[in-house]
Amino acid sequence: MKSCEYFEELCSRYLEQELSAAERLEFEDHLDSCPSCRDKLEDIRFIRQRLKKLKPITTTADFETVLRAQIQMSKHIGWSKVWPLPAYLRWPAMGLAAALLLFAATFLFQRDHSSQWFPRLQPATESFATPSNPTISTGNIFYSLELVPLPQRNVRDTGKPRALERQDLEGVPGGKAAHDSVQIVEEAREKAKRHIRTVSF
Amino acid sequence: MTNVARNDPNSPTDEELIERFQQGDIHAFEQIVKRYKDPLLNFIYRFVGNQEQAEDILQETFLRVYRNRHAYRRVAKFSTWIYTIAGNLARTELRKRKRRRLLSISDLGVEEDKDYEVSDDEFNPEQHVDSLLHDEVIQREINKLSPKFREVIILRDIQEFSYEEISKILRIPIGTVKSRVNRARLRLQSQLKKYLDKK
Repeated sequence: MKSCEYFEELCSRYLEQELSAAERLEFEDHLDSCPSCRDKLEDIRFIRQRLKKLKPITTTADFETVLRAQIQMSKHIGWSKVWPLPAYLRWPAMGLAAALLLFAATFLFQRDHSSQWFPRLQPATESFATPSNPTISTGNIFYSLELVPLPQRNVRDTGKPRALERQDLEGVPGGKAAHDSVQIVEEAREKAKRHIRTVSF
Repeated sequence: MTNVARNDPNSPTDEELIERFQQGDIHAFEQIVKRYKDPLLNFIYRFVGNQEQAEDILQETFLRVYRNRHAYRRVAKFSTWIYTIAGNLARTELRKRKRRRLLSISDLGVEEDKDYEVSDDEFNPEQHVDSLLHDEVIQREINKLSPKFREVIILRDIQEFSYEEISKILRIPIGTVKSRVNRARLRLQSQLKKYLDKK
């Protein structure tokens, strides 16, 4: 003997005449012996008819006017509103934007602090300064990329940077001459800085 | 249910209209709006249970059709495509509402569905069952169904779509649609039983 739950599963198929002849017969036999299922089926039949008779509603009179205005507006508010990201992409997109901003900020920060990774612009004039010709002209300054960190900084065991001193280069072939040259370069750079206007790229 | 408001057989089909719109004919879009605004409004209204919100969702549906007109491909029926858009927007609205309700319940300790409570004053055994089962009562009981039952019963029993069309709109297998429709009907019957017993 099949349960009422089994026949409940067949209700819609019975109402929509999708049962096979054998299933239909079995279903109707059950209905004959089960008033509860019979009532349920009648209720469902009634509800379906009632749902079809629900009073339809209509749009308000200004619906199309408002729609036209919205379309016009959407043409002027840019792509972010016109193609809004789906909800599941919003947070990753914001995260990516934040990461890009962070990277850009780091890049700018590093540019101001000499680094091999982020070379900065240097006045090319310093390459012309030598111990024999310590004076340079600041009237016509060109810029070149500084590819190598200048040797005036050195990090000792303390981890703190300090100025490279002349005696540090004791025993280094040409070291003292190089130090003197760097000093001249530094002086020339300081001098040059006072004459350089801000250049934007 | 095909070409919902196409009464004149000589008028262009929905698919012809959207193609013309894709080629830049704005009047074709206006015709689409005229054809679909009321059937879609009723679908959305039965889904969300609020006419103002339904109209807002309908506006958004047409806006999406306007903006994404080139996303439509003729392999699908236009009615399936537009109902899918409207259904997705209506479901999103219900999810938002559920979140708001959860927040309000946790914040205030009150039930937001209070409006749906049915007063006993509405019962009148003297009345005919049709008048007992007011549209509002039916709508209230539809609103109590879970969204997955609600959408199938609206599409099948109110909008009279075929099982195949519902399967395409909801992107679920036909078998799932059929069993969902049956369960939704049984659920609604059990909810409306107290009114029907007074027949």
